[in-house]
Amino acid sequence: MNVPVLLDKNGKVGRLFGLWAHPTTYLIDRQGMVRYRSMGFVDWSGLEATSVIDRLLQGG
Amino acid sequence: MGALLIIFALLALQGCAGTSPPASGPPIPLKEANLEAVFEQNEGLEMVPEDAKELRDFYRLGVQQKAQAEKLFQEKSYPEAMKLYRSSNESFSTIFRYLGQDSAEYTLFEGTHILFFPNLLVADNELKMGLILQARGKESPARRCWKRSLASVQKSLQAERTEWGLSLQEKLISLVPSKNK
Repeated sequence: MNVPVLLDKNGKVGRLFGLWAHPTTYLIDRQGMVRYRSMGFVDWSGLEATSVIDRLLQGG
Repeated sequence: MGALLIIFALLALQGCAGTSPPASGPPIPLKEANLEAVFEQNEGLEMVPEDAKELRDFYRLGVQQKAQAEKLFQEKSYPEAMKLYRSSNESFSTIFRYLGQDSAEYTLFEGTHILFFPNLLVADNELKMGLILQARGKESPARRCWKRSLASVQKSLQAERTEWGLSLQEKLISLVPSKNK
């Protein structure tokens, strides 16, 4: 699967997101709103992550 | 053994929380530590109170609320500005439960530092609230704001000597009559 990857060389995007820990994951909805933030490593195939995604998909 | 380690860790933390000696040496120049720079570091994604969970979130929230308050203050929309200054201070008060020291080089993560000045920002909020109250003819509450402001500035200067803090202190000393200091 090909996905675009942004390289935030000078940290500008991180600053605009108020990033303060690595890694941090943001889930953004179709309207461009941040719906979820997680700091630290996430097991995206785990129950917690899939539950969050399912809930967000149901909601919008 | 585990309990002993926890007790030791708590004692070590308490030791860190003690009063530190006043910052010395030449003050950090205004061009390095100032209100605009703080605003710039915290612009972007808007933090809403319901989403603030970590201390860094509350700092970002407090700064963003202050940025809005400043705009309203400049426009002389005093009641709205007052409300936001209060909200900003409430956001910063959450930080003070855990962290009390200002820092010109607060480490977010490796290689990334920010200006972290909750005390000085609270002081500036109190200064502006005092000016609003004074404009409404409420001299006594205004003086109370400035006295609180002065205490916050001094707390900030204790940790980090900045030209920003020193100029704020000078302004407050001129506003608060000496008998009330």
